[in-house]
Amino acid sequence: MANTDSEIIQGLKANYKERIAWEKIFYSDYAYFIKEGCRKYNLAYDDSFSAYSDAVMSALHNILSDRFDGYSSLKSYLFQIFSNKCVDIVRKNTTNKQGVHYNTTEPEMLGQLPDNARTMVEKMIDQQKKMIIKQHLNTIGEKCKEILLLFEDCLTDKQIAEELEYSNAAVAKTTRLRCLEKLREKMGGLLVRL
Amino acid sequence: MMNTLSYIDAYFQHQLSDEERRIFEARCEQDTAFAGEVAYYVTSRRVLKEELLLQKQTLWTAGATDKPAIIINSKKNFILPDWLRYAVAACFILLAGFYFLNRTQSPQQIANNYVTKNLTHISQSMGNADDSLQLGIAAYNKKDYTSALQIFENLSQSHSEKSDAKKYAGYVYLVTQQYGKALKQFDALANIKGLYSNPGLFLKAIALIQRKGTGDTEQARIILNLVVKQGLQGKQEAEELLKKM
Repeated sequence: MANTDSEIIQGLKANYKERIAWEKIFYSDYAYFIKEGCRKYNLAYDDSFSAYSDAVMSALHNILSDRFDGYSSLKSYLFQIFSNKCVDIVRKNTTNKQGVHYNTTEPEMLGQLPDNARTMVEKMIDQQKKMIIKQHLNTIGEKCKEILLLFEDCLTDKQIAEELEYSNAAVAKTTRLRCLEKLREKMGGLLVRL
Repeated sequence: MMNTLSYIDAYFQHQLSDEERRIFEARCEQDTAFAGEVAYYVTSRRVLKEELLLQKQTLWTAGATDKPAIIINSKKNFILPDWLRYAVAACFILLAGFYFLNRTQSPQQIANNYVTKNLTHISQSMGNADDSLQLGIAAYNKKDYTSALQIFENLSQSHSEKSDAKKYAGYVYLVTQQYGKALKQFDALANIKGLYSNPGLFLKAIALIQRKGTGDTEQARIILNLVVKQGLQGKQEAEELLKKM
């Protein structure tokens, strides 16, 4: 028998370990949306999968931060978010068809480019920055990475402290910000140069 | 630098007062180095979110076999338009419905259909309108079964060889649901020798099916098989009935 909305919400708001299990249930219950995305929006499977998992995470975080008002069912709520993500992908796919050379750009040079080309180049710069951060994320140590990811997963500093056995929320917060700082230091001037 | 990150973090965690927020936003516009720190904070958190999503995807799909064996990776995949898919689905439902109806018709329904289609009206021959048999047929077609039965019974008793009278008397009993009497008439008809074609056995099978008594359907099946084997009148219909029984 399928889980009711209140069971899922209760499960998601439980302790972190229990929440992880319920996240999987929540994801699996509506995983058929992925095929719907392929059919309705003519998306490739991977794109539809990406939109769906992204939608699940958004819905999840909204539920956890009490931004889900409960006026609609979880299914309708999730489908609405998923549809929006699919539309975003469709737009992205239809506007970014051509590749752009971006290795010689300087900020003052961007102004010479027409609007569309400039948008594209700026997007690529942004992607490069993200790539650099991603590469260095593995150099800051597992513990640091874990605390940063837990924070992104909607855990408060207090919950992080409980989860990782820090003495209190303030310690967890200081550690988290130190890790963020460590990541920045690891990258040195790379990010600025971009 | 830690203080700067803490300050930025407080802004994005909505921990600053309105006044403090205004100061923060103004500093972003005026202080390039500070704006760079904010950009780093936002970008790194975005990257962390993407990393988290990747981890979740692995976790959520562990053990799942949702992905089709042939991955629909190409956007050039041909996908039927909605209207065509609905049309195909509608056709399929109609076909399935017809198939289902035909498959699930009970022998009684088949026999009832046969009676309604073939036995509720008897063709009248032209001329000899005063002939008793024709009068009986006229009454039968007008659904005046009492008069029709009287005429057919009289004829079959006075002229034992009058096969049509027995057959039509059987019809009357059949449409008035007096199956026992109908069976007697069709039995008697089947026993008349020397007829060019004799529908007695076939009609008996129909009466048995309609009566729905214990063992009636089985007996009807045996009779129908006999009709088919001996090539008696009603052979074609018997074959059809046997297919559906």
